[in-house]
Amino acid sequence: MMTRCGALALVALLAGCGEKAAAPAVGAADGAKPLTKVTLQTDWYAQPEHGGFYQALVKGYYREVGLDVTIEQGGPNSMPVQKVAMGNTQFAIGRSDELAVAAGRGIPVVMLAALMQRDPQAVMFHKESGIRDFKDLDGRSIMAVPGAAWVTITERKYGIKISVTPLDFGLSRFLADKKFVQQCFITNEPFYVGQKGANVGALLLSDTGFSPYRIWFSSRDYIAKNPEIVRAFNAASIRGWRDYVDGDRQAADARIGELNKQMTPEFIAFSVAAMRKYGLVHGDPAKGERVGQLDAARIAAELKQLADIGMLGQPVKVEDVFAEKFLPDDVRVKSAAK
Amino acid sequence: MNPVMKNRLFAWLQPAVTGVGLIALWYGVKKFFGIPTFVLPAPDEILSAAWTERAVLWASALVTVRGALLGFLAAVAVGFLLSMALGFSPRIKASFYPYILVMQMMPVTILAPVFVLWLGQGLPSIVAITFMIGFFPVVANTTMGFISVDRNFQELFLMCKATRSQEIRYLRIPGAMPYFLTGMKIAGTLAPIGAIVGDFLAGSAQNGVGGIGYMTIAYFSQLKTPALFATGLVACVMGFLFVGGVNWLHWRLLHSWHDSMVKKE
Amino acid sequence: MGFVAMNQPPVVKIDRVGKRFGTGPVVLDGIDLAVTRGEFVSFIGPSGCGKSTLLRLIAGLTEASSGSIVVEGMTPADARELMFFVFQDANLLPWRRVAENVELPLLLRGDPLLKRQERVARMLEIVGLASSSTKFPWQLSGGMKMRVSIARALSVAPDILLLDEPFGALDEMTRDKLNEDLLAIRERDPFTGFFVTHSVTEAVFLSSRIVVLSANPGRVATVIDVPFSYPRSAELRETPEFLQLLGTTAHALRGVRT
Repeated sequence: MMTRCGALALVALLAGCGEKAAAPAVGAADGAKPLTKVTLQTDWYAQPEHGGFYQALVKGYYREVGLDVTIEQGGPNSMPVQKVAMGNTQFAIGRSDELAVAAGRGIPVVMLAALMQRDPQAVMFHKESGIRDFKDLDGRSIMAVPGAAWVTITERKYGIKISVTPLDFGLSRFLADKKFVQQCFITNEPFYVGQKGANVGALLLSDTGFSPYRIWFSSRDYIAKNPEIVRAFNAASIRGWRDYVDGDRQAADARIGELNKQMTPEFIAFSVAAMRKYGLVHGDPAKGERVGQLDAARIAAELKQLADIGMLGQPVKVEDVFAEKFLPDDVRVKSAAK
Repeated sequence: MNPVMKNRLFAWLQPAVTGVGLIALWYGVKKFFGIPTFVLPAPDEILSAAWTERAVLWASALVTVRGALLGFLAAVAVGFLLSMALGFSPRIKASFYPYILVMQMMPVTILAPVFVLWLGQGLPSIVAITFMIGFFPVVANTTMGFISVDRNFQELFLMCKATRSQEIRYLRIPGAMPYFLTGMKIAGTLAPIGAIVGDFLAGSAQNGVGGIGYMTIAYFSQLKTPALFATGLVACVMGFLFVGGVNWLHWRLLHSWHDSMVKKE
Repeated sequence: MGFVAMNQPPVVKIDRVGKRFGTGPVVLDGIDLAVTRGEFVSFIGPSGCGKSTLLRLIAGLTEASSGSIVVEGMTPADARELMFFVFQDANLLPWRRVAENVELPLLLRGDPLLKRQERVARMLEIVGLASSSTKFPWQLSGGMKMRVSIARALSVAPDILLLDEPFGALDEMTRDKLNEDLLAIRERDPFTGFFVTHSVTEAVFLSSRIVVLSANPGRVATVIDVPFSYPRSAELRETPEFLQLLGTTAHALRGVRT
């Protein structure tokens, strides 16, 4: 049904040519101070993987910090990096390695916080194929996004060879062929193919040691000009995420269901359960991971992994791609000297 | 300078000057609107990326050319044979032509997964998809050629007491050649496009190198926009070569006798 | 009188022939005509009188709706080997060279290569186009193309030659020359000729008999005998007898004009 890193839209690339500053403040909710309008561009149609933001929206957390947030749904060609860089949106969802690659091309985008400590990307397969581990992918053909970093990193790590065929965002090929392997979100596709009777297994990509964050980001220009807005957005969003996974998410789920008819309560339950099972949002609290956290050291390690496989056009330092000062204090990584 | 030389000079000077103008406009627009490279790269950036990526681009071009060529040949061969059946038997034509039309109208994206399930990923499916895209023009034109035979010629053959197969061999097939070659020209133009689309839908890559279509997605997802445009450039060149090749064939087979080729005095 | 043997059985007998295409108008009605070997018969008449159709009926290219046509004692279809047709448009296959066009009937009936080549060379000599044998039709003038068409028709040495307004698209000088050439060919290799034309001069110059048809439906209005002996020369056209016959024929033609 879905995965990130859009398919082709050359025309759209040329279409978005216009600078748009953040819309000026409009209409007040409490009469005293007007709310600032900002937009968050997501990377797919409304789904539980965006749950924390919808929670913050319907529970009024954004309003409380003076923000009137519009959540813009994405799709196969959402192009969040381009949109943020061109100023068409203030915030967008992405992956830490995508941001690193963008920075490597000189695009001035900066990550702010994590919605998930571990990216839900996985490969799914039929258990009948006998795949147990990443080593078993050797010599196989996988439907994935061409040019994806994880393929090269996985090949090198396990000394295997994978052949990639372009992702078509569908499930029919998987269902028709027991040997088919497909890139997916562990919170998503396995539900649907399981429903259709497939005996599905999945391997979480972050288990290969290449473990990007799922993050939101903005442009260097915007955060320089609007630090308070950025801080407020971060705080409210992190609050929304904590609340979504651990608290009462009924209203948020209802909103998601309204926006995307395929989001049945059953499916959302599956998704959130997977988030909990694999510790996607919380990470590992024993290691000091927190909801929303971005660890500069971990990012630095990831940059090295990407540089090693030649994905970075020019050298990228952590500061180029991560602005730590906008993270709330209680979420930041505590330094060793504490 | 004598008039003949002057004409020849102008023949290539005019497009060359226009080309320079367009490139200048490109730089101008980029500068004026401040368009960043990752949205619209400059021509020199594209050429530089083409040079840097030349090994990959060459390899992927070969993959695509292979698929395009095989698909084209299949479209031409099968198209020709099918046209003969349709042209010579009104019953076959009435029975099957509507379904051929349906096959043509159906978007390739729907048929592609069927091919992949049936033929497997990679070259066989790409050839099948390219075939699908190219064979209808061949069939439509060639069938028309077989059917529209001059009644006077038919009477001539009747006077000679020619058998049906003699009529087919000496009249209908040569008579259909101009139509067939027109269809072939169209198929030749579509073949590279077909192979690139086939790549998106059924392509496969080792070591990160696939056909042109595949590389387009890869470069796009890696935000390597100059390289992305460079693949576009390669696709253009490929298209020109294909069309050039088919045009040459057209000329070679028809130039001695056909209206379209013979210069009017 | 040459070859016209008057007391022989007719080589072509047209007996109360009528023709109608489908449910359309009647094109020919009650045509009677007996033609003996060696004659040269022209059909003239206003447009729509069915003269081309009549020619095609004799050639067996189409069938009569009523009545019968007997050619050498057979139906036209069976007698096709003895006939050939020269079409209004030269009707040359554009992808074949001149020599290849001339050899076409021989090729289709299975003659071996050497025999074909020999015959084609001779035919081209006769029509005076030996030097153009490798040219393509587009390279020839209208008159030349027609001569190739005639060479092709003659290659099978037909007993009966049918010509459908072959010189209509040519200028008068070329036409006159080709008329003379046609008669010269006939002197050497005799055939029974059927000729459709709009030109009264042509009809009188070439024919031993002229059949004038009326239109809607096509019927035989009158048959005019042409008493001049063969071989005929170009000077014939200037004789008073010729001019008088021209007048008679033109008068007959005017008479059937609707």
